Amino acid sequence: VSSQGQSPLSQPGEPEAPAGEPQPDHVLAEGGLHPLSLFPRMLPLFGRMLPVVLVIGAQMFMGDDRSGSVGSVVAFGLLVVPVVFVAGYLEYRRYHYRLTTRELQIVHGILSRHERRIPIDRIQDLGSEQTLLRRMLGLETVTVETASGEGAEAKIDAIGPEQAELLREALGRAHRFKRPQASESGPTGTEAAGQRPATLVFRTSPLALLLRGLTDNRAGLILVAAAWVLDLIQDVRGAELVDQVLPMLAGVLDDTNLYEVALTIVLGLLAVFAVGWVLSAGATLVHFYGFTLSERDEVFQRRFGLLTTHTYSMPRRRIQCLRLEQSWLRRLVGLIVLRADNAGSAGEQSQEQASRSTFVPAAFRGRAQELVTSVFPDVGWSAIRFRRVSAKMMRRYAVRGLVLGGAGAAALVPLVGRPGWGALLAAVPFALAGWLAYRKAGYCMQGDYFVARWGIAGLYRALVPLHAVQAVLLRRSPFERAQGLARMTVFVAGGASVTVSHLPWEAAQGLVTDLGREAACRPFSLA
Amino acid sequence: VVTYWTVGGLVRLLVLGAVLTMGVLPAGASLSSEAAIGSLAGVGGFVIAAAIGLLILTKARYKRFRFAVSDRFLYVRDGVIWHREKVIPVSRMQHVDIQQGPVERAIGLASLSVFTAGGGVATFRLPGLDPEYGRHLRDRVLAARDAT
Repeated sequence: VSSQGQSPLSQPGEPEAPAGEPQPDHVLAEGGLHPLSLFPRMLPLFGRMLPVVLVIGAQMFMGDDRSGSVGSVVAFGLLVVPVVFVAGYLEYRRYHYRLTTRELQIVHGILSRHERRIPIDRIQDLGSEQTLLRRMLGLETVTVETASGEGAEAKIDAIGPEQAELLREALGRAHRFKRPQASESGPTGTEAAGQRPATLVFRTSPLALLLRGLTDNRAGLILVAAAWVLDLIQDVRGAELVDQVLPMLAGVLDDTNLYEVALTIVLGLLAVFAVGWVLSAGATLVHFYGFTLSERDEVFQRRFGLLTTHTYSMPRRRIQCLRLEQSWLRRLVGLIVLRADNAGSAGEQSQEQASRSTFVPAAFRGRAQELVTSVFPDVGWSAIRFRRVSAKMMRRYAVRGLVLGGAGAAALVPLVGRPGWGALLAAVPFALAGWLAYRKAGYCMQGDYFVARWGIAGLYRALVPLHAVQAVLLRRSPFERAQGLARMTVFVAGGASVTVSHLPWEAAQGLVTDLGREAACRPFSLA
Repeated sequence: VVTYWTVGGLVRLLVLGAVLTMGVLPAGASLSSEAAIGSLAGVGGFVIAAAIGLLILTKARYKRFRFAVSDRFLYVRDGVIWHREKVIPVSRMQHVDIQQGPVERAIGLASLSVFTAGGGVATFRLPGLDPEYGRHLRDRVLAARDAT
């Protein structure tokens, strides 16, 4: 193991700049893991070892006669402990990060050596995470995000808070050093900007968070909770339950207490649902607890979390798209969720990325304008006049409903006769949805922004700064061609997009031309 | 390009046909030898019909495909059933690729891709270029970007 681990830190003082680089390469900050980090980092190692122990233990159990085997399993388990300790210690010795004026280097790994280098100007976002355990020990994980679109590109795990602060400061300085033109307000401006205290933009009230939790569609969590509750019931009542249910079912067939049984089942399901609901709300509350959004030097910082605390920062310039989302439930309680896509976290595949792009987890509707204005001060949110899409949208929805209803009727009428025609009624909700969607749909180009809104029962809005527009796409299906309609999609960095459908053809063409022209004359850079 | 697309489409069709044959043949054979022959004929008919459809569609696709490169924009229009028009400002270009697959090399073609930060769909792709012209186009696009 230690054959290649002779000099894990490889002369820390010496910059490893390749020859021929014009710029001097100073080391700004460097270090390794905090000694206390051994403990939280070893826990997952133990976790990983556990199945191995179990498998081997089970094999011993099968092979031997039973008398001596328990002892041998325990002995083997004890044998694992020093192995994990040695592995954890080696990992601790090997882990090393170094920040220079040009790049961030992270070296780790025991058997295979991983070395990651990230150029400073590719770093999109810096954050920090503290699990409960790490927080108790006073440790911090610094996350580094680039534009690769995979969330956290690198994590500098479990370093002391002073070191983390030092690293952040150094990185901030390196950013400014590398790109002095970034803060264009003059040389004194940079100095003053560094001193300016952070201003609090927004603090989420627990009530809003609770409402968000209650309006979350976390079917998965509810299912898990349901399974857990059922498990619990079985554990508590076990055989008793089976003994009772079987006669009860038998009784249903004889007696007429069917109603009672049905009521019990419905109530049970409702209870399961309620428990899942409350758990899900609790999870949201814990995750986003004490959310604050603050701004300093054009950089937004979000802090939240009860058990694991997160700190994410996002420079204003790197916000590619701001979304205001109100699902229909949230709309009922007047709640709004803000999402900001940066080039690195546009996709919403993983839980972590979704959490990263959440700009404000919950706010009451009244604060929306203020929030948007604080993110994009020049958008003129209250002055936006949305333009309607084509009214043919309603017809299309209704026709879709009719076609579906017709298909349903065609399938049902031969089976059930006359009542099958009822399927045609499906057209009614479709027509209603079309009307609602038409009333909500809108788009507009306002100053430096493209703004779109859509939704049926919920209401969704997206703001795209024109400098972030990467490409504009117009699409027309054969039906849309026949009706003179088109749909337009605006792509921003990181793969996120905003689509406006049911545009009249001429309007769509004009919009694409305008968007393209306006976008082309605004420079875009990921740095 | 028509040749290239057709070859690509035909290869995919043949693979599909082979898979279908393998799927259908045992089922047919288990019934009777006549059913086996019938199913084979069915698959063959399907493949031939699809090939004809493919030829027509490819021709139409070629006819629909238009692109333009200006100092500020890249513009593509394509799609037979779904019409698509794409506008990409030259200033959003991240990098440019010229690719030549085995089939493309055999018929002396190259394709050009201009990538943006917007991901897969927001990429400007031109298939079936004369390699010389492709390189010329690439240099022009690069020059246009440097000018902005």
